[in-house]
Amino acid sequence: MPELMTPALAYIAAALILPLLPQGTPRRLLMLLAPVAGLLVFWGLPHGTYGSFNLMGMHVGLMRIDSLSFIFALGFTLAALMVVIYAWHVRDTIQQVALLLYAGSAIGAVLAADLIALFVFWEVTAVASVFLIWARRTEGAYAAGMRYLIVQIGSGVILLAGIVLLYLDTGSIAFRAMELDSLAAWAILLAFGIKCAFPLLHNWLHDAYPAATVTGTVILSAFTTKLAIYALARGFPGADILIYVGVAMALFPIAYALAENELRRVLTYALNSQLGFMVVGIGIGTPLAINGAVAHALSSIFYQALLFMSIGAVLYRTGTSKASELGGLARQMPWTAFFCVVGGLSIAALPATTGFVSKSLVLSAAGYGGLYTVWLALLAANAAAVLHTTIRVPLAAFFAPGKSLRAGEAPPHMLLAMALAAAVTVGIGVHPDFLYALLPNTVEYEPYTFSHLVTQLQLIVFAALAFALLARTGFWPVPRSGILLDTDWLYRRLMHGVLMTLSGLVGTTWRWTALVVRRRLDVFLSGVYRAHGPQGILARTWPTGSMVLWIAILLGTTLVLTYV
Amino acid sequence: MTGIRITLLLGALAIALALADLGYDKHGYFELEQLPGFHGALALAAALLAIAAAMILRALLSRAPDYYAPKGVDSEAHPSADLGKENGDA
Repeated sequence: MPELMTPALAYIAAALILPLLPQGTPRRLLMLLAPVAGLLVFWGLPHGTYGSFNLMGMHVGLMRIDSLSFIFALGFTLAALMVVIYAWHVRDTIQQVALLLYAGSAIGAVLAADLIALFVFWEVTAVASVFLIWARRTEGAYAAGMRYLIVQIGSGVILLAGIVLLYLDTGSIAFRAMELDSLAAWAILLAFGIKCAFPLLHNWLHDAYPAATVTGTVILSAFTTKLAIYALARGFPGADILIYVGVAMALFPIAYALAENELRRVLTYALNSQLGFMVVGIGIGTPLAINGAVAHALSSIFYQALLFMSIGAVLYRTGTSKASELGGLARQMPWTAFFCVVGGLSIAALPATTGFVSKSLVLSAAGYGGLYTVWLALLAANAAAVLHTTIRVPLAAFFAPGKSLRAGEAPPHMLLAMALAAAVTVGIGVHPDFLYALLPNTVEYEPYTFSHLVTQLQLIVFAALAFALLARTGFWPVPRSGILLDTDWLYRRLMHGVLMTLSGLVGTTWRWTALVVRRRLDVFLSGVYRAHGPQGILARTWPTGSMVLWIAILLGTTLVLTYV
Repeated sequence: MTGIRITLLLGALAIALALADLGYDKHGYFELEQLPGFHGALALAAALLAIAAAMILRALLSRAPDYYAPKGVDSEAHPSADLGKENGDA
């Protein structure tokens, strides 16, 4: 179906038709059909640009098929299928339409042949996705959605500014690798960085994702940040600054993920840390490193979704995803617990999971590149992931004793979606050649060497031992109710306080100025009244003789002054 | 399996994996990697450091759920319309 020009149109058409259909099977089938139709649009097409047209003298292309865009489009399509199944029970039209538009625009963005098409789809992802947060329909979700929208639209505006500057500089809107030697390139990098949750630009991720609906968080976790990874891989491969940004990303969320109480937020911090691995790979920029970044992005779509889906199922059944309120659900939700553990093992990069075969590529690229500190930092982040996700999340939700929660197993469609994600996670882990064959660069790499297996198992087992020792000695942080301040404190409290103080100062100054002006005006008007009022000196009736006398005095004075 | 048994099992496994380093030709990227149990020691140190950082972070930056707003996402209940609560028989 190449005449459709981009798979995004299949999703958009489905989103337009969907509200006209009755709830239930017709809508569900349409939602399943959209990803399949979208896949048929680009599946099997030779590499090249499709759907090109002229727009105000610019050559715009809606679909570019190459090895980099293809793997992301394929990953997003599978993710769309997975989340449609997971959201099978949802009868909320807003969420259904938002899912289709969001997934479709994310696929449209990774296939966009130029920066204009990228910008359009970039903005549609922002607008469509916020409805997954607002669909929770609470005051808190509305506020979180507004903050999310401001950041996402802000990223789009910066991207547009960068595109305009780039067009003025080069006369081109082509989306290709850029050097960081112009304001345009820096603006575009900043826009990508916001969406990728770079350190200090990251807080929208932890603020918004846990505010979404049960299914909304799962959907959000699959697309936005991976779209940013694609954009970075396309636009800034080998940009050195990304190595250090990536290391900071991999490390700083660790303490938050260990201390946070809300498990869906724990998973967003874990996701942020994993994005750091991908950003490092892009920054290194060698064929192996780019392969690693792309492979890890694809693998992370599935294992992160698996983790979000399992905790989403817990929330769906119990009404909470807070560690301090959960525990002991393994008996009641055994399959959900099993899938959560599989996702956790993958983020730890246990051999036979996608995490192992994808993370290894980035670590090896850092090693081959002689980036010793980077390599050490990533290993440390990997060990920490064992604690904050592999152990902490399943432990808090399913295995912690002492809670008397009652909950049924997740619904069959949720289990099916989790089973699909787990099958991909383990399937690619066992047969990495399927994944490696799709990667953008042709590189020979064997993850399953004896040395690699032993060292990776050491990393995981020693981290688990650290947990066991800490738990036995009482140093493992017990979950407790509350939130952790993050950089959002700067704009939610500090900036709010500064603005309130400024507002108070401006108000006081205004009132004081008005008072002074009014008093001065009163004095002036009183003077005028005294002079011109009914009893004023100038309002009196003066005798003619007196007037003549005064005029004579004035003329005489003038005469004297003239001749003196 | 009790906590102590799990700890002992993990300890034994960790020692076995560290000793395994002596039995093969390690293909590392850096000199330091040749030390037996290097990855394990690194993981242990990283894990302890991460927990210490988390404890400090929580002590300094923990606030009540309604710190930002009385009706924030963290202080409000998840709406029941979005849930499918079902009591298990356990």
